[in-house]
Parts: sequence; C-alpha cells; structure tokens
Amino acid sequence: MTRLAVENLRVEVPGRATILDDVSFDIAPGEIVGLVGESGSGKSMTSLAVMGILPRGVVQTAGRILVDGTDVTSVARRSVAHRFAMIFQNPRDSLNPLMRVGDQVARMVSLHQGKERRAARAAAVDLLEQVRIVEPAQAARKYPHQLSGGMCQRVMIAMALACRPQLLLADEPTTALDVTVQAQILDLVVALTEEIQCSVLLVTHDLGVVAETCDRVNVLNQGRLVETGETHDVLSNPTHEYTRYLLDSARELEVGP
Amino acid sequence: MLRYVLRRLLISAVTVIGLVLVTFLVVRVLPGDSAAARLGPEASQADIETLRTQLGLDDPLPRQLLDYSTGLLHGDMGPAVSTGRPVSDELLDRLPATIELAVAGLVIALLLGFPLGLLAAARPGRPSDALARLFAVLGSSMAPIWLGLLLIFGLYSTWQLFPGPVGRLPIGTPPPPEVTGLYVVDSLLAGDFALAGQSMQFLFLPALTLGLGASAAVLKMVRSAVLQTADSGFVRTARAYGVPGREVLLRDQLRNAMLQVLTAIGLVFGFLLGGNIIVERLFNWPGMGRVAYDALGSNDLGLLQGYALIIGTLYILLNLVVDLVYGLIDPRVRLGGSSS
Amino acid sequence: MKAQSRRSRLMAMATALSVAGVLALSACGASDDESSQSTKKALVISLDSAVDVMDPQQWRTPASMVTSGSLVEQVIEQGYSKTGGVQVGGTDFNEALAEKWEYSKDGKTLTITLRDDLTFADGSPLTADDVVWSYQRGLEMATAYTKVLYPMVGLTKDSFIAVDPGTVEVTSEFGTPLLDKMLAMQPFGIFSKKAGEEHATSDDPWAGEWFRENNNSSGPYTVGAFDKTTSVQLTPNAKYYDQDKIANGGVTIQFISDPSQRALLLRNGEIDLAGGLPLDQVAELSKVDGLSVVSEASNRLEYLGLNTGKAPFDDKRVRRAISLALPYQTFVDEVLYGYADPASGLVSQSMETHAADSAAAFKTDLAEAEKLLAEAGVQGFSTTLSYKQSSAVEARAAVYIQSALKDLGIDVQVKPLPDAEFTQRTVARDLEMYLNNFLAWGADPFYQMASLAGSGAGTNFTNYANPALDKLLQQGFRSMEQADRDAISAEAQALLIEEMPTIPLWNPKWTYVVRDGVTGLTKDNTEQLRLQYLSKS
Repeated sequence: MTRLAVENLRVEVPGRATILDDVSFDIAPGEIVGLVGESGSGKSMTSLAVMGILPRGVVQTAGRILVDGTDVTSVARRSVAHRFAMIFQNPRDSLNPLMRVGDQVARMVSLHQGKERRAARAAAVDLLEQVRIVEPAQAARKYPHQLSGGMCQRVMIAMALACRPQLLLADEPTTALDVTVQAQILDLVVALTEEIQCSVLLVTHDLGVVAETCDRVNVLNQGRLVETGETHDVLSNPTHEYTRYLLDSARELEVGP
Repeated sequence: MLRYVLRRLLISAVTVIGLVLVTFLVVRVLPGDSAAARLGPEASQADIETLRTQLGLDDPLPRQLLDYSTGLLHGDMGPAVSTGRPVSDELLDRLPATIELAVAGLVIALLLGFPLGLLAAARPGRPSDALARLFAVLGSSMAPIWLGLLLIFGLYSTWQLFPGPVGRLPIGTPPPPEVTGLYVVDSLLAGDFALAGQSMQFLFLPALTLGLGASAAVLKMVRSAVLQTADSGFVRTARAYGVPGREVLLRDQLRNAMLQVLTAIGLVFGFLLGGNIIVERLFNWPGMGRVAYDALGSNDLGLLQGYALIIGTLYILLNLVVDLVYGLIDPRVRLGGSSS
Repeated sequence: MKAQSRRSRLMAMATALSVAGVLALSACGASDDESSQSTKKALVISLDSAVDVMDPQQWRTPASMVTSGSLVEQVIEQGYSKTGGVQVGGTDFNEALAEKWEYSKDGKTLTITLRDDLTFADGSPLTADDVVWSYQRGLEMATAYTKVLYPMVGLTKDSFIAVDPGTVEVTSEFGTPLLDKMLAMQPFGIFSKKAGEEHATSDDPWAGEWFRENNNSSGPYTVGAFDKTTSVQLTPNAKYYDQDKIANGGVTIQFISDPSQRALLLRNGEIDLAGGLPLDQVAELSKVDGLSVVSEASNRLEYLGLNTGKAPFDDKRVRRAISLALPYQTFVDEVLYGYADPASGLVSQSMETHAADSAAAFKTDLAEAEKLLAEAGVQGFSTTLSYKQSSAVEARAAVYIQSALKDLGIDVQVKPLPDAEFTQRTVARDLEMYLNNFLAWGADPFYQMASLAGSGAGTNFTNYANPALDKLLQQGFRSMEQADRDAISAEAQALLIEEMPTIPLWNPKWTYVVRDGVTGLTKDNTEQLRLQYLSKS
C-alpha cells in the first residue's frame, strides 16, 4: 500500500492562473521521493496542497490525495489526523518569534501526543536532543532569533518528530542554510526518518541533494510532471529534454562554463 | 535592553525640549492682547502697560523663553494671564478629570474595537469582516459632537437611561476624598460603592462618545495588524501542524500583532487626551479641555502654553511607556542581538 | 488542548465577573438626597458664566459678580417695585447695614450711622473702620475695577472717615445722586478689615489674593462648597443682619458652559433657573409647560460704533445717514426673537430723564439718508464691520446691517474677530465700524452718556470728543434737582442725536427662564440677581 498517492492534482487561482495541472505521483512507506523543478514550477505548492494548507485564493479544483488508501482531499488538519509533518525553507521565519523554541516544540507534543504541560516540556527537550542539539535544556529556553539557521531547522525537525509522522514534507529545507550546515541537516533528516520508518517528500531545485538522498524523483515543469523514476536512472539517462536542461545547468554550476 | 531604554529616555527628553520651544513660539504668534483682555474694556492704557510689564509680555523673546524655561524646571508654568492664578493650579486641578474621561474612552474603544477587529481578521472577506468594517467607517465618520448630542438626546432626554450633561456627579453631591482625582477610583478606595456607581453613570455617555470614534481606529489597526501576520511563516507552520484555527489566531497571530497594536493604542490614547475638548464642553465635563477652549477666546498665553505643554508631555510619556512595554514584550528587543 | 480550554474558560469567567461587577456598581448609582427639612427650599441655578473670583471688587464674570455680591452687604439698598415674580430696583433707597444716612445741605457730606450689633460671618463686629477700609480698598487696590467710579462721584482717598465705631463720614467734591446709586452696588459692599489685614502682604496690602478665594461674609450668604470646575454652593449666613430677607435655604450655582445644555437641564427639572440662554431657545421654552420666561426692560445697550476720527465717519451727516438706514424693528423681531426694545437713544427708555421724543429719531428713512449722504458729498464707500466671534446675536445683526447699508451704496465687509483680538482693537480704537454692547451701572443717564461718548472715556471707542457735551454731562453729574437733571439730560440727548457719534441699536431685555413656582428675581441697578430674594414653592 502506498503511503501517499497524489492523483491528477489540479491547483489554480480561479479565473487567473493554473499552478498545477494533472500531477500524479506516489510515495511508498519509508521511501524518500524528490520533487525537483525551477522556481515557479509549482513544487512548493504541491507540498502545500498535500498538506492541506493552500494559501488564500489558491484552490485545488481537481484530483485526489490518498493516504494509505484513504481519500483525505477534504480533510482539514490532516497533520493531526494522518500524522503529516512539514519543514520549511526559512526555518527562523517559520518559528514564532515571541515563544521560546522549547515551548513551540512542546505545543506540538501536546497537540499530537496529548501530553500535559510538564510532560510535553520534558518530551520537547528529548526531541531537541534527538535532533543533535547540544545542551538541549538550555536551547529550549532560547528564542528563535538567538539561534543560528541550522539550529532553527533542527528545532523544526524536532517539531516534525513530535507528530510521530508517517509522512514528512520537506520544502527546500537546506536552501537557506550555509553549505557546511546543509549536509548535516540532510543527514539528520535521512537518519531520523529511517529510524521511524517515515516517508519523505523532498522538494528542492538542487539535483545534488536529490542524488544524495532520494530513492525516486519527480520532475516538475510549469505545473506539469514531465518525468518520474528511480533517481540514478533519471539523472544518468533523462528521457525528457527539460530534465536534460536541468542536468546541464547543474553541471555548468559545478564545473564552470 | 538597557541601551534601548536609555535611548528612548533620551529621545523623549529631547522631544520635550522641542515641545517647550514650539509651544512657546506658536502661542506668541496668536493675535490679541491678553493683558487687555484680562483687565477688561474699562481699563486705562496705563494699567494695561503695568500689567504687561509685570507679566513680562514686552520683554524680548529670548528673555521670555529663558524665564519660562527656568520656571518650568521648578514646576512653575507662570501665571494665567486672565485670572492671575498659577497655570499649574488651573490646569493640573482639572487634569484628573480629563484623564478619567480619556481612560474610560479608551476602555470602551478597546472593548468594542478589539474583538471586532479580531473577528474581521479571523474571516477576511466574509460577512463578519464586512460588518466590522462598516462599523469602522460609521464610527470614524461620525463627528463626536453629533454623536454626543445624539446620545444625550436619546439616552438622557428621551429614555432617561443616563444622567444629563451636568458634569462628573449629580448636582449637590460632593466628590470622594481625593487620592488620585479619578472619582471612580477614589470612591472605591473610600469604600463608597454608591458614589463609584454614580461616577460611572456620569462617565458613561461622554466616554461612549469618545470611545465609539476611537473604537473604529482600534478596529482597523487590530484587523490590519492581525491580517499582516496571516501571511507569515510561523502562522503557516502552525496551520500546517494542525493547530486549531482559534488558537492560531490568538496565540500566533494576535500576540505577534500586539506589537503593532500596542503602538496604535498609544496613538489612540494620545488622541483621546487631546481631542476631548469638544466632548468636555458638550457634557460639561470639568477637564482641561474646557479651560483651554476658554483660554483660546481670551488669548491667555500662559494657559494655552501650559495646556499644550501638559498634553504634549503626556503624549510623549505615553509613547515612552508604549516603547518600554514593547521592549519588554518583544524578546528580540529585550534580550538583544542574535547569534550568527 | 485541555490546558488551553481550561484557560479560556477561566478568561471567560473573569470577563463575565468584571462585566457583572461594573453593571452592579452602576446600578448602585442613584441616591436621592432630599435633605431640606426647612420650609425655605434651596435652589439650583445656572448662569451664562462660571464663578472664579469671590472678590466683589475684582470679579471677571457676571456669575462671579452675583456670587461675590452675595458675600457682602452694602450700607443702603435700592427699593424694589414688585410685579409678579420680579422685583425691579427703582431710584429710591432704603437702609441696609446703615440705620440711617443723611446728606448735608450742600449734598457734599454724607453721614452714615451703622446699626448696632452688626457682625461678619465669623462673629467679629462690623464697624465704621470696616466701611472705611472697604471704600478705601475700592479706590486704592491696584486690581480693583471700582476705581474708575470714584472720580465720577467726586470721591478721593481722603473722602472717608470713621468718626466713631458706629459712624462714617463720606465727603465728596460735589453732590450727586449717583453716589447713592453707587453705595448700593455690590462692589461697595463691606469687607472685614481684620481679615484683610491678617492676610495682607507687602506686595498685596489689600489682601487681593486672599479675597479672590476666601471671604468673611457680611452678606446674606457664605460659601459652602466651591469646586471651581463644577459649582459653588451658597448657604445662608446665620449672622446676616436681617434673616427674613433670605427667602431660600441656599443657592447652588452650577457651571454649565454650553447654553443648549443649560436649557436642556432646565427643561428636565435639574435646575430651577437658567440665564444666558440663546433667545431662540428662550422663545421655544416659553411654550413648555412648567417653565416661565421672565423678561424685563433693561438698560443694556447694543450699539453700532463708528470711528469718528476717520473719514467718512468724521462727518456727522454720514453717521446720521447710516442711522436712518437701519431696520430697528427687524432687529427686535428677527435677531432677538422679540426679547428686546428698539433703539430710543443712548439713554434707554427705562432710565430716568429719558427724553420721550428721542425714539422718533431712530426710524428707517432711506430718502432722508440718501439726502444726507449727498449733502456730505459722499458717493458710496466700503468699510469693515467687526464684532466678537463668540456672539451669535451680533453675527446675525451684522448680516442685516450689511444688506441695509448696501441700499445706501455702502459696501460692508463683515469680519468677526476672536474675542481677545476684538477687545484689543477696540481699546486701540482702530476699528472702523463695530458692534458692541454696554451696561452702565447705577442706571444713571449721565454716566451712560459719558461712558459712551465722553472725551477720553475708557469705554468710548469711537474717538469722539465734544467739549460742549462733556460740559453738559459734568453739569448733569452734579445736579441734584430732578427738574434740572431732566433738562440737562434732554439737551445732551438731543445733541447726541444731532451728532450721532455712536448708533444705538436695541436694548436687549433682561431675560431668565425659570421653573414655575420660582419667584423673587431681582433686577437691581447693576442688573444682576440678588440671590437672597429667590424662592421656590
């Protein structure tokens, strides 16, 4: 049984623009699947659609989203109902600047695990330790602006873990971080999701990241899925010219003109 | 945080100095001879000249400014030209009445504007939002004098629900022993609940007149500040994680919007302090505004300057307090700096 | 989740409790105090101004004059003629603090014999020394308004002697009926010398500062509660020389700055008497059950002042032409809603020596006016009409004047000025044409004419100076025989009509609106209420 199946997803701003057109893909339990494309391809919107939190004015007009076979297209608060979690591109902006990070994680623990305050706080500290933050008790008392980008992302991952997620949507999780930190975070995500048998949808424009972490990859171009397949297949033998274009651009960056 | 506090204090001090200078100059530009006005038409030119010299009205401007500033440092705002009594007595006696009215107006403005603003921001574009905004438009377009008259006519004259525009207490009722000058507070402190109740009854109509207009402003500011947060990253996070809508609104949106709302509340309160001249006159409220209104007619330099100075200083103090509270609430300011 | 809902429940409860508390407290409100056991009821009144100064020699507002006047008594008092609920002061006088008062044959020396056992409110005796001190103060204190009055009756600082504790001698340079009128006015009430000397300082030898806020009453009332921002409560003075004269249990003057609110409160029974109401509201209130309008002829004069020092107003033909173009009856009917008498000269109809034929001069006769203008060689010209911004009545009148003078080819620009600026410019005497009003105390025709048209008079803003007129008026001041006074006054009035330095427009009536059952409104020669006579049934 697939963990996540997206069927013929159509997302648009009614009367104005089509953002996603007939997008279909699936993710098996424990799999890490990549979703690549340039900016504006609609990849972030895909993860938002799966999560059920499309912004105001943007609507899913066709298609279904199935989790373990169940149609969740009309379910609100899917995160709680089906144990989704999401981490975002700008980790510091994604945290509440007026709350200590430990409390923010604890809030998710309360929400998803039903624990009372004190227990939730203790669990939060544990989670912070799990995401390899040193001196987690001290860190829990800090505010987001006092932490580095990498630390903030770890906190977000801890929040995700609080959901005991079956599916983690990671929307460009390392793009805004320093190169040295990027690898650490990626390794962390891979390790943790493996531990808990969580599927991952990794949205990124960075083919290098895909190559390193994803089992399979989907290529999105202007709202349409143009290629899908095992990672090493797609990357070494792209069938669609857009995929080839992406690969060429990536190589140029690496090697130089 | 300390640097923040010090910087704010310094700015406030400089602003007060500027205020003294500006009020001093502006008031002297007004036409009309206050000494002549005080002594009346029967006075001889000689008497007027004597009074002018006595009050220093013919001294060169820098000299007058110096005298005035030195006096200020001792808490002396000079004499009111029209009565001869010290300005500080005339105005500060009446300050508590103005403050009580402004505070009551603010409370009503907040009680009305805050929940409505939140409601509007919770469901933007929906009927509740439209209704709230309609309320805001009505509130801000109704002139206080018209609204006040309407309330007096309806709630006093016609339906006898509230007392008439007599002042702060019924005719013949002595005020509570003075502690703060705010009758409601002083009555409660004295244990006289009946008197506190009466004070509130008399406070209600003028406060409502002020508060309705101000509530529109509060509503708009709360709505706009909360809506702004709706697009922020952390709200997206909360929604993504299935935090219930109401909690997102209150805990994530509102709290972060409070920073802006707080500044706005400071502005509103400042406006209420200075803007209640008309309401005071209409409801016969014995506050500073009424004195200022009369002072304008008799061109009483001392009173006008004192009034502008007191209101201006209160406003500056208010903003200082808001800034300091802001500093306490926002950890980014309170704990300073971020790590790399 | 549980934590949150518990918190929100607590908040809801707290809100509910506080709202309930507020409601309960305000319902707790109404307390009626009907504490008058005596048959003399106390009254609540509201006048056109607030009370700020308690010193009858230093008051600034009319309400202050009424209040401060209640705190002193004079040696003599006007006699009143009663009609209905109103008492109007006349030209004869009765003893007040004095047991008797007698003039010498030549009228220059007045001997006042005080009653026995007179005291101030604090129980200290009231003697001749106090009388002398009070009269001296009115002349010599720097801030006393009264000092301008003394020369008019020939009094100087050497005029007052205390012969013995019960007798005062007042000597003036000439005899004049004006002296009695003045001695009966509130500013000539008696102060406590002891209190004055106790609170005098070297800068302030007459205790001006102290008496502004305090009193040791010789009059019918003492001050109960005084809140400068709200009201003053006057309670009957147990030591007043004649308790029977006090017809009420006390008077509270409530300060209500907005006249419409005053009218509203009167209508709703919260106050018993209201003065200074806009006349259109008076007209309306006259139709309301339970209220009555009290309106008596007054000596107050509204006039159109002209700058006789500046062309074309320096030519009396131009001035008279203007006076013949004005719609006098229209002013009374439209501007004052009937609560006025049309112009009949600078000396009003109700003043003694008023010449009966002078009213005829104040009519509208455009043909005559045009003829006069032609004679003066004046075609048409423009000018500015100024008045106090705060006066709604003058604003309306200005419009009528503007359109009336247009018919004469005079282009009038109407310019209201802020009150303080108006005062300044009238004192500077540089306004061309202006509306103003004047009330002469004492109801004395010579005082009236001298104040408005005498050379160099403080209230003569017209720059008019006529030695012949001045001489006549001086004679009038000093003449004691009624026949002489009538003749001199008639001559002066005729001269003023001929010269028309200032144009009388109307005499607004002395108007109050009261609840039915309120009587005893007293119009003395300063046209202020004497509060002790007010009563309520």
